[in-house]
Amino acid sequence: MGNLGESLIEELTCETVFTVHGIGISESVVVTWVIMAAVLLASILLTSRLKVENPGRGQLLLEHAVVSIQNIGTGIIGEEGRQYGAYLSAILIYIGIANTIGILGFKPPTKDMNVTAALALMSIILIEFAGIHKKGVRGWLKSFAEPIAIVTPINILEVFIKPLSLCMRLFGNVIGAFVIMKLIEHILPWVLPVPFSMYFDIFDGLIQAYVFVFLTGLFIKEAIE
Amino acid sequence: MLRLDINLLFTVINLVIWYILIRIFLFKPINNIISKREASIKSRYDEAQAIKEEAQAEKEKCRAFQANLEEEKAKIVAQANEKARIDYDNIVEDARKRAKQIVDDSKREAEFQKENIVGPAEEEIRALIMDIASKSLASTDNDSALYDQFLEKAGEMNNAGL
Repeated sequence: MGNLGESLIEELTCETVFTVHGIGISESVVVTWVIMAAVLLASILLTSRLKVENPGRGQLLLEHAVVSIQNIGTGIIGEEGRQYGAYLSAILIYIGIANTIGILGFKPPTKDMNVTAALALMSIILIEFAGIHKKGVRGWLKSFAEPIAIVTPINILEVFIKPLSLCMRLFGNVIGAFVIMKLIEHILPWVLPVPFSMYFDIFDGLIQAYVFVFLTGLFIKEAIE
Repeated sequence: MLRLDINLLFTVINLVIWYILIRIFLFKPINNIISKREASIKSRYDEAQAIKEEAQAEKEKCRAFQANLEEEKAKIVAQANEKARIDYDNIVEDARKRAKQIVDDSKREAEFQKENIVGPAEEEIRALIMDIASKSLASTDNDSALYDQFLEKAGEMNNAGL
């Protein structure tokens, strides 16, 4: 069991891959780069031969997939916050890939709290920006005292609680799934992990991506109401 | 695992770049293609609609033209009928005139012929009668021989001309 503990600790630790001028670049950042490069390359390749007339089956599938993902983003946020839909869709793709990339042997970037914290930070910035953009600074400040003045402290706390919960939910789910998968693999390395991997690596990963995006969208919608 | 460091900043930068990349290289081309296709479909639909309307207008025009044609035809036929009737009347009238003229000519001819023939015959008969009368005055006894002579003479004249 000591062996398992050690290997688990090793797996869970996000290693510093290399250092530039004393700044350590962690594995999650490097994997994110890999994901970015791969998706960029795939996007360029897939969209290079798009046809207006008589699209092939592949193109139709791609179009359908991309439109569906965009619709998820705009669907959550509604017509009013349409301009934020693209961000939600992009983040959905990123978290979806990041959560499931463990299948390909990479360490999921979302297993590093830096990544989930960064995501949550960007979410709360976007949420508050949307509020300010919609209502103006005065209206945004006033919205803290709504519906009644007494909830103001809670509303202010929410500014910190929302991103924290987003960050920790994603991080906890991914790391929990990862630990469980490691334990199952320790018990029986073949056959048994397959169905569990289906659930923890793919289903849970995609669900968490959706939940993150859904909540961010919901908060934005709330902010611009 | 549970540490927050400079990599958080890197991740934020990564995410911003990721968002831009996805927008430019994935969403934009796909959305462009879809909107282009929609525009093309719409333009084609509009074109078809325009052609349909044009055809409808053409059809209306054709119908009007046909109606006009029918009217024109009826008019022409009526005119032709009228003209034919007039021509017919003229011809008939002409024919009647000519027939009358022919008949008149014939009558005149016949009259003339008659005069031509009857005149000399009368004179001949008159001469004959005069001859007979003078002869009968000359001889009183030989009546039957005279009568035979007269018949003979008359028969000769009959055979010769009339």
